[in-house]
Amino acid sequence: MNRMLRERWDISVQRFEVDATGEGTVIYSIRTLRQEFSFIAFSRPPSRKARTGRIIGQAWDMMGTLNEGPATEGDIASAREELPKLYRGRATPNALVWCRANRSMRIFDQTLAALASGKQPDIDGLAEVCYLMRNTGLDGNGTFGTRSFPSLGTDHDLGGPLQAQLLTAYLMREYSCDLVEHLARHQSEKAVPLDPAIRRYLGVGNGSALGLIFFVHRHPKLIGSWIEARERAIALARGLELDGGDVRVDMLLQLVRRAATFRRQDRMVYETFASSAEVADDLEKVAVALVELRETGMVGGTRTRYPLDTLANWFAEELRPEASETFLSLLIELVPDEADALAARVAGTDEVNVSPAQTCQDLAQEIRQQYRWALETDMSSPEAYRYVWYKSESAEEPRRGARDEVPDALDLGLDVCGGLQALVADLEEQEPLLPVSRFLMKHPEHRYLTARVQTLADLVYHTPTANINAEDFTPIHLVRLMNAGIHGIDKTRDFLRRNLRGVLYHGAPGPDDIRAGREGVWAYPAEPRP
Amino acid sequence: MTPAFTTSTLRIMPREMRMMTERVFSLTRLPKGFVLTATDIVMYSQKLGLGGFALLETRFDELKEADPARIELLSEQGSRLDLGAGGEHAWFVVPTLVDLLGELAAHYGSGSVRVTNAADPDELRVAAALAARNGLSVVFSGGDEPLLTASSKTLSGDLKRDEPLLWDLLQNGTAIEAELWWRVYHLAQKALTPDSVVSRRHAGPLIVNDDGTVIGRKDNDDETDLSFLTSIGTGKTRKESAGS
Repeated sequence: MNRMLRERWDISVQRFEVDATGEGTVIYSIRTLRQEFSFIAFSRPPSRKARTGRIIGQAWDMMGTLNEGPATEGDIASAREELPKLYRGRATPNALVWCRANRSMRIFDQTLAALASGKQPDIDGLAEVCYLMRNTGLDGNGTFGTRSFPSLGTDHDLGGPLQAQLLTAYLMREYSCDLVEHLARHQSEKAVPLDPAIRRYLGVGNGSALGLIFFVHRHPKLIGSWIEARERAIALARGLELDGGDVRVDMLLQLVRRAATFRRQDRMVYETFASSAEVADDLEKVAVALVELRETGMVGGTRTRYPLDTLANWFAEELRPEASETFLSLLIELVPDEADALAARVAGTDEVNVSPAQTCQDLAQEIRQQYRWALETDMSSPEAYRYVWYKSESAEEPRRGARDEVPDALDLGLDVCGGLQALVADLEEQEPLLPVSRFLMKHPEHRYLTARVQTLADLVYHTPTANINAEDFTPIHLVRLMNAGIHGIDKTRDFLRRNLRGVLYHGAPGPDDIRAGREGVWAYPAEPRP
Repeated sequence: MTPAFTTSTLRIMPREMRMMTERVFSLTRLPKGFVLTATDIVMYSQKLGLGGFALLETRFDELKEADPARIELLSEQGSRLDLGAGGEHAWFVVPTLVDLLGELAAHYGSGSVRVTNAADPDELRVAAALAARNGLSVVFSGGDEPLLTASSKTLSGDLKRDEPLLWDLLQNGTAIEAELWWRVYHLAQKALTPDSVVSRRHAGPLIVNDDGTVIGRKDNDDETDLSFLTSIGTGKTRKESAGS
């Protein structure tokens, strides 16, 4: 979003041919400084049958494709034919992402009725959901024949990790707002458009689950690079030498208060995570400490050279993790240029390679040093392998279930703990100076973990320290790592310890704001009360 | 190397090729820790104009019995090795072969490995292309007992220069005959678990119990069709209807 604003991307509707039932075609043009993209979406009337936010669903209210270049009639015809086939469909060579979305039926219909009657929708109702439509799939990087993301390169305007998917999500949000206004106009001559403040408040919904854990495990270099960039930005901010009266302290205070208000107004009910009321309480303690810093230059009555570092350590001990991490995230706003530069360098290829000349002795030593947590995990307990990770043949939906309930399932999960324990045990049986190449010849079952350990040796944050097969593993901790930490999703409402629903681009600028380059803080939006 | 596509060929990208290969290999007795590092082999074979996915289909019954631990060193003279494949398919010799060439290059600056008794020995050409990833320049000499000679080269960090075949695959994918691709697709699907009412409870924001009670998501902003979640066979219906 920062880049879109800085470069003033031009996003415009080229075609909006949707009838009163909701059937039709919509085309958006996205012009960057150097390139043009198009978003082709097909709207369908909602169907009650086979409707679910899960991948196995068979009814969607929108399917679309983000393409390179302006939309041609050939692109549109091909997308119309191929998108509904999903895994049997073929994208055009210029396609980057295929997507699907469903309406939030209650809120979409309420908003439509209000606009058609010439009124704005009820804010209390909107605030319970915060989106009109919810993403149920963003597929690219070669899926269905779409372009491979690593081939885009750094000169491409969507060449960075996840940029094509995130732009598509943003366009889904714009589409949802444009659609509800369009249908309202179909219903009544009295219809009014959404108030711009309400439009900005509405993000796009997102439902995520177990598939993201496969993603985390399959892209360790990318995940490691991303988290390292975040931690470096936070470290830079913690190292700022600030005194009372520094404008940056005041800025941070305003951000914390904004986040506290956001949490106070949050109506989601969290099952595993801290309630927003508790987080708001903690953030108000943060605000009190920042007022002291602003007024006196001191933290807890003591003058310190690096007050933000002192505060961060204090909050990590005293506050709930959600509040402490919110504070850390807001610190990044104090080093915006450095943070953008760090984000631009995030990268990581998928391939892992064996270093064949390393000795068994050295490899074992490296594992003992870096994966102590995995070697110390009790894998002999009956709970250690209670669950299995697999995919259903219906739409490849990722699932996690008790192993005895699906005895024939092929386990697709990564067993870091058990695998490394077995690897080290076998390495210790070898002649210490035996090269890894010779070891793997006799133990081909250890090839992947060997390559993975060797390839990731210089990274810090690549692998979740968890036995994902165990009874006590909570899948949504990793789902939220991806959703909140990397995708930037708010209000990550959790279900059954494995699913998250959340809001993306909550409060984000609209196309007019982007075209005008209107910068400013948009995260943690307050409810748009008149 | 941009492929010419026709109405009977499909442009398939690396992600899907890797996924299908991994799934087909997982239907064999190959250990999972080996399969996860062998997913590029068939893709490279296809791109190089070797056996590729047609060979994967043809040889599948034999591949099911694969055991790369049967591969062994027959002799060793400094930087020259003789590797006995023990009748294993060339694809499963490739990882060991690349490792050994890498080890020799690391110790001697260069080295060579002769491979005997490998099935489809010409497929060992894949090793020459794949070894570029490890900073090796490899020359392949064919025949029933191919000889591969490697020397070290400096990796630049630029994928386009270091591994041009992978770069071309990422840019353009490769052309595969449509009927063949869908047959491989269906073979690979066997690695996935059939839907059941029980397995549907292992995902999603809500669980529908046998007695009809619902656990999990309480709000209903998308009007989920609960009867759909408790029915089976619907996925099959869609796949068939979504087919050709």
